[in-house]
Amino acid sequence: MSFLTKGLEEKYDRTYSDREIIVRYSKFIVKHKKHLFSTIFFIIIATALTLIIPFTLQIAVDDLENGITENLILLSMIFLGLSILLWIAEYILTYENTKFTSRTTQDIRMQLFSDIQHHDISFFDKNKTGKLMSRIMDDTQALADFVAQTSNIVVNVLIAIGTIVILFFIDPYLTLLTLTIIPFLILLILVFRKIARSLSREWRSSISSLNDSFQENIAGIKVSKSFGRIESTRLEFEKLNQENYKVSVKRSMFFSSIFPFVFALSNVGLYLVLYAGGLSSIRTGNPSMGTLVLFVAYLNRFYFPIMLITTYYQQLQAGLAAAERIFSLMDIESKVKNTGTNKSNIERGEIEFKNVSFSYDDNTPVYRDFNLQINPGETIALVGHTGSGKSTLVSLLLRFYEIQYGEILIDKQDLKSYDLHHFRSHLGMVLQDPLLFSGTIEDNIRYGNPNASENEVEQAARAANVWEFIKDQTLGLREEVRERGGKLSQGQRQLISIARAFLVNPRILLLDEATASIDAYSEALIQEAIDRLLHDRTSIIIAHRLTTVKRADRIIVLEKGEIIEQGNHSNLIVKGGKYAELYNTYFAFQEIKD
Amino acid sequence: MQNYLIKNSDIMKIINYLSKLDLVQDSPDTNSNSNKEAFFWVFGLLTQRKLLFMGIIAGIMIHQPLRFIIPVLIGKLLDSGVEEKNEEAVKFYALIILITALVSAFFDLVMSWLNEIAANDVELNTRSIYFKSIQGKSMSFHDESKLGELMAIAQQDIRSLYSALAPGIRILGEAIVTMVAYTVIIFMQSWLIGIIFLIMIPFWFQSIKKYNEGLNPLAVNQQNYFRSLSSHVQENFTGSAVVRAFSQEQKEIELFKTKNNTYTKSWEERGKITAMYYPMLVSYFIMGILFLCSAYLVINPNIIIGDLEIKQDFGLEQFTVMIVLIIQFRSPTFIVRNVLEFWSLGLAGVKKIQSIITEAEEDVMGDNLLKPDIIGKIVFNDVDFKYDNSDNYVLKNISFHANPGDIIAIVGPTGSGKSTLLKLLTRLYDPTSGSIKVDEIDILQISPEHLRKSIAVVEQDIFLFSSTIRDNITYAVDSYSEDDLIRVSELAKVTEFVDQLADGYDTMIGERGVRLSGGQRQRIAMARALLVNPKILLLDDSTSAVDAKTEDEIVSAIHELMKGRTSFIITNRLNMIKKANHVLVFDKGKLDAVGNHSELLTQNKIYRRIFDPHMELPKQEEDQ
Ligand SMILES: Nc1ncnc2c1ncn2[C@@H]1O[C@H](COP(=O)(O)OP(=O)(O)OP(=O)(O)O)[C@@H](O)[C@H]1O
Ligand SMILES: Nc1ncnc2c1ncn2[C@@H]1O[C@H](COP(=O)(O)OP(=O)(O)OP(=O)(O)O)[C@@H](O)[C@H]1O
Ligand SMILES: [Mg+2]
Ligand SMILES: [Mg+2]
Repeated sequence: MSFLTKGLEEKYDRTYSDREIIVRYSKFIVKHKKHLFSTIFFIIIATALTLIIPFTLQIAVDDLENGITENLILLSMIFLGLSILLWIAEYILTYENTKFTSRTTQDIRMQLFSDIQHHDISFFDKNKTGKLMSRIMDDTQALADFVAQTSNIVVNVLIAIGTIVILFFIDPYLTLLTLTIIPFLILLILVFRKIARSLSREWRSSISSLNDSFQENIAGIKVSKSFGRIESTRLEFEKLNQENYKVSVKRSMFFSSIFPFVFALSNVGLYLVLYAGGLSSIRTGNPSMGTLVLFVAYLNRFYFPIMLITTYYQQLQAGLAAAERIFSLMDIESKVKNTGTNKSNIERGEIEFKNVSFSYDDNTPVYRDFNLQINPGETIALVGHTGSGKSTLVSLLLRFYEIQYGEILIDKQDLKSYDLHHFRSHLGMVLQDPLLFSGTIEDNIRYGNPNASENEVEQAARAANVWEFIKDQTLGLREEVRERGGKLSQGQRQLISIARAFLVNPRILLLDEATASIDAYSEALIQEAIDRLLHDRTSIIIAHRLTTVKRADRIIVLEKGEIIEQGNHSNLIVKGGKYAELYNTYFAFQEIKD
Repeated sequence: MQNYLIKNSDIMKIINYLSKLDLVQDSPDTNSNSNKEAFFWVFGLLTQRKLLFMGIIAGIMIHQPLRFIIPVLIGKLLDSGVEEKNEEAVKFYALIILITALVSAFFDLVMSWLNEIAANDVELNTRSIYFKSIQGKSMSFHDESKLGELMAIAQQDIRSLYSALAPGIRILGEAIVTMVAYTVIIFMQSWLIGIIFLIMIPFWFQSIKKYNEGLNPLAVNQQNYFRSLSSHVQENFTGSAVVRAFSQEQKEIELFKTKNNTYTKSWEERGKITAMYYPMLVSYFIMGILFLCSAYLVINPNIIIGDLEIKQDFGLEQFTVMIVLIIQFRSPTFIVRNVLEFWSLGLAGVKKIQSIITEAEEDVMGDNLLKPDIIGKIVFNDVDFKYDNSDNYVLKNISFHANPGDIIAIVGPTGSGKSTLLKLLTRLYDPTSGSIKVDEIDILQISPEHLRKSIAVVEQDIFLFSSTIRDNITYAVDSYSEDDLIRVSELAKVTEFVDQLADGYDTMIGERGVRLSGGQRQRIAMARALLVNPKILLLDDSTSAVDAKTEDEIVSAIHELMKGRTSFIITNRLNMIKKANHVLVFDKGKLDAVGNHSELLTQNKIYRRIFDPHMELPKQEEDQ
């Protein structure tokens, strides 16, 4: 099962410049700038306090050296007072920062989700759910972590700068000495960042194939169980897990090395200060003892931020990369664009395909120069070999995909000129895969028409011949169906999705193998209901069971995207062409007469 | 690497062992695991590699105290070097300080590495355990869980466990050592201040404990909301076509918005608690008091309490050391906050994982289960079945038998229990009462994994993996020859469309096979089942999306292939039924009749209702 890792290549990852990303991101900030500003304000306050507080201690040591003791108690009170102020500033700062990051993340996630809602179906054909999930759940979170971390870094950069300034005032000579290790530090960071980048990339790809594999294996658990593949899939997964482990250990060991290195380097700095400072103090009395103490104390505050900053570059990269993945997903251009403004109702339900060409992948066409005219109120049946393009026709009518050439006219107007949502709301359809959502039976039936009355729901369920089943449930309409309708039999799922389509009261009805898993008797009942409810509506019915299609006004036989025959049942039988052949084969097996 | 992996049972053993030590108190509610249990679970995983664990502890014990010697050494340098104007002492102490720092850095490095390895180990193990446990769960479990949630646990929660350990362990260890070192160093300066410090420490701990207790439920909350959000997103993406077909994008967006807001709110709530980190306030007070005491002592080295005169040797040197310590006291408290944050999230994750893995698994590989060679004689004896979570019986009093070579067709209205019957055969579920025997052995005594290897299924709701056609067809076998692949593809009529694809068998078919037509998917699933060369074949409505002619060809092929073996075929189509030896007619969970086609047609009402052409087309009759 190593194939699970192959996945589909990330086609949509464009490269954005860092600038672009930051500009994009800042748009999300605007709404929450209040919190950002108060965060920044309190960062400055907190930084100032952090830098001032040690002065009380320095004064104390210096005083003491000079034998002055009367201020000590006062100093300690000031120290405590300032510390409490610092705590308050830090509280507000952290809280504001959380608000800022959580809210911007909320907005970004929201934006991403709603943008994805407007992407077309081919987008979902190309992108695995698992990958999209990790964009919307993990990458947004990673970005948030990075932003939250940034305020921390800002504090520390300010502290480091402030410290350097103060150190300069205390003793410029010692400060310069301290700074001699900076080039080494920069060198360290440069080396670090290079390795960090490649390790992170490696890790990202290994963890994402691991997650992919998890997702697929659990989604397909029934298959692996049914075929007794539990053990072997586990071993496959284990292999990926081990691979990820190796990469992850390598990466995290590397990342954890940076602190000890910076610590060692910073202590070389300390050594220089103590050595040179100590000797000079002895020889010249300058710096004073208190100054030296203070200098050493501040030195700590200089190196610690530096340590954090060294790892920040990596976080910055990770954050920008996450942002890029998010934005690139937002920016995908759907081929199906909702640019139409026509909101007139579909009154007649006339459909015309005019010289339509379509292919999914731009090379093997499913339809080439296809023409079909469907009259208002007509019932059309599509029959044909599997893969001949029947479901594709339905998808095109729903504008799931954009046709490459030609036009589709609905009531003589170009399909593209209609507002997409408005247009779709006139259609009722049962797709070949009758997907239900977790929630109650009622939620599912109401899906396309949430405002329907109780009575309408019941009527739709009755028409779909599923009312009796619903009534048998302990909770009736409020019975849960679970993800994908897992609690129902396949036929029941189809029935409910038929009810769902009925409730929309569509102008055009599309049934793609809607009754394939339903016995012929129930199907006949449903057919009757369709005739009754939707007798003047245009409908397209796809079925392999030829008894289903017999009564259609017109039967269209598709082969490789071309209409090879059309007419009503009796005409076609008389004609003795492909349909007659299909029908005869079918009935040679289906008829009971023998 | 393999031996680092430990079994679930080992962990349970450790937990049991620990609970005997009376360290773990079982919470009365068995579903909500206590923090302690979660903690010991992690601890159990950690201590799997004793050397590693001890290495980390040793590393912390060495490098951290060394760091604390540095301020003392600085004090010495200042005092006996600068103050005494002794240049040699300055040089000496400076060098000692450098060496100490380097040694400390070295141990820090080693310890960090060990810590990372340990945390990765735990992550690796937890993920294996979790995956294995999810896999091993009964179908009832899977029926009820949401994929999005299970995924969120696999990604987020396991990751937060990792963060709890690295740098969690290290930081925690450091914080502890730091506190001890503080105490020692303070005592070295003045035992009086030392005592004062010791008196204050419990307040510090208490505040941390309180803070943590406030934080934990919020972390659990936040993660729950996250999972719920995640599962919403998952479902929305899976159902993207339906969402669009019904123009419900706006509604979905609204729903997402609500969930997203709830999640964000829970995040902010936790953020508020995290921000209001009062242990820091406590430690500021401690610092202030220490400062005050040091100041007082340096002014009055001799304290007189009543008749007692306490003499302290507390001069500039001691005062300086105290000051350096006070400045640094902030950092352990600061660090503890990060640890607690990681831990609260980590433990919340562990609790969730634990609650899942401790749920019963189906016994797939039990040692005392039989692994007979399956021939294919099947007997159902008075089988009743209902799904775990519902009260209605789905199957009632089912008795019949099938011999090798039989083709059993199953018909019946929607929801009559046909698919369920097949699921009992593969032991995806076990009968509520009654027995199923395969080759005279009760099915409950046969290892499911073994049984399933002799059975091949084409399910009604086909699942294909997001990969190539080849990978999907060969999914169920360990090895295959190209000839086999082509042979079954011919049989299932897969070649017919694969030959037209540019990449042939190596075409990627998209998630769940979205890039194929319905009939193409069914045929791939069929080929997948045939390649197994099964003793028992189960076809659940497997040709519903295939036209009659193709269907007939497939059926004839299967008929050949399954000679001498047992097949069960659920279908609505007569041509499949007519090849069957027996037809089972189901109605509302009962076996309404058994017979062959012509018997049933004359004798059975339900059967006739389904297949009688007059009934089939009520309208047409009227028309004519
Ligand atoms: N999303 C997709 N991406 C790429 N190719 C696709 C996609 N969906 C279908 N196809 C291909 O387009 C062709 C027509 O498929 P379509 O689903 O329309 O067939 P169909 O007539 O509905 O068949 P069936 O009776 O099996 O449902 C098939 O060859 C199929 O492999
Ligand atoms: N996982 C489940 N949990 C609870 N109830 C279930 C579950 N699966 C099916 N059911 C219920 O059990 C009954 C029998 O379902 P089953 O899938 O066996 O029907 P079926 O005869 O195969 O129907 P169809 O012809 O529609 O496939 C149905 O009423 C269904 O709602
Ligand atoms: Mg189709
Ligand atoms: Mg079924």
